Amino acid sequence: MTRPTTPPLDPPDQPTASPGRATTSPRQTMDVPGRATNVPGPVVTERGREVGARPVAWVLRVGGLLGVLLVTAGLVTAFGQNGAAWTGRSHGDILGPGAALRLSDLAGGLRHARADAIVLLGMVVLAATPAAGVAAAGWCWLRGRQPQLAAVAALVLVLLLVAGALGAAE
Amino acid sequence: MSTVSPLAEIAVITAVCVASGALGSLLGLGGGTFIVPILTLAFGLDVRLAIGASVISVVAGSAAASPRYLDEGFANLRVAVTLEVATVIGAVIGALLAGHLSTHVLYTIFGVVLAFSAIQMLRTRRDVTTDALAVPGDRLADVLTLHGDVANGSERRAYRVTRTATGLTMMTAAGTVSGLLGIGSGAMKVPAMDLAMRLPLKVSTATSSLMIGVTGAASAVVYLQRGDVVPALAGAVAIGTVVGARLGSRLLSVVPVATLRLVFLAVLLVISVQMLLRGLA
Repeated sequence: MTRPTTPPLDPPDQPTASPGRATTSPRQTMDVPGRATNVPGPVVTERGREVGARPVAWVLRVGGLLGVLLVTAGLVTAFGQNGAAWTGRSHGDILGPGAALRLSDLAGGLRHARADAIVLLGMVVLAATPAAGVAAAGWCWLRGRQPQLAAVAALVLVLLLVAGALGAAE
Repeated sequence: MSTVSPLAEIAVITAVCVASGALGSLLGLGGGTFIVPILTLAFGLDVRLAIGASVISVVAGSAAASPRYLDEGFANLRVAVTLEVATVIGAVIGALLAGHLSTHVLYTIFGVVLAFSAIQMLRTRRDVTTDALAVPGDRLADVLTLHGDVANGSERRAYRVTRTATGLTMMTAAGTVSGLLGIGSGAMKVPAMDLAMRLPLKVSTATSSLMIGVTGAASAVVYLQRGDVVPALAGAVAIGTVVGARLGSRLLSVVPVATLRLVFLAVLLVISVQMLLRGLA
């Protein structure tokens, strides 16, 4: 009841049982009570980590860290640039609706070295990080000859682009 | 808080978000559940700006928590990406709707969702896959090779995914709530995977944490484009939540979570009533 055969994959998240090869986990499942069937298992590496998991984890770690660092740097710079606005309300409310920025303000803000634009850039990096994770997973699945999963990842990325377009049209 | 300087207000908001992120992590609700009520009820901030800040923190919290779940093999990446098709569609619908609904409606929906989360916390969670042998076949799950296995002590236990179409439908609703209120909607995502799709509870929780980031990113794009994000506020909230989430995962082994759960069940119900009262006023 097992599937020992493995497609010749070369997943990027090594190591595997044999270098350059991934293993398909064998399984026995029940379709109806008492009747066991074989189903295709996930392509996993030696440590039980599936194809794409390691690159996706790496992308999320790096993107998350970069985003938080940019946000922190932006907040520190904002305090340094305009400390008066942070210590008293007479210089404008930095937490009110007037301080809100749009994505379209990003390029101009960065050109003028505005601290709130650096914070906004950090948020854009944070928002782009999960999308980069999906792209990494899609790429790994494409390399691992799992086109159906790669297509699903591509669909998610297209939907995220549509989200951006719809948000801009608001 | 209007007489307090913005610096002090930001410091307090960051500290509160550290606590909120830690509690959210300990209780499996995610920090976003508490952030919007805290920012609106305690700090008197505009609900849309609070949601805009929360949605950024949801993405940051997911990016901080989910790599560990991927490393440990708990999160099912294939299930996550498949269900993200539905959560992203829902999140965009929710985020677009949020721009057109009145604040009263937003408060009311938030109150109802918090009450639902409290009920979810009350429910005794058990791993349905351990005591149910019959798992209906699912062609979509077979085609997309969604089935997996998870560490169970020293060995790995195989599990089979079912009712993918039902899961996709439930995830669309979860995504809509997430986009509308700027929360992760883990309280809706976990039962969809755990009860409907028959994923082990541990896998459902880890996969939900991973999915929350993509769902949050879809709504974050809309909020960022619409100008509903105040950088200083959202930045402070995001940093506080990430620090809190990391702290919460470290405290998990030493904090009596069962007691904490009871205390915050009461807090969640009180906040829910407060939000409902504000919405219906």
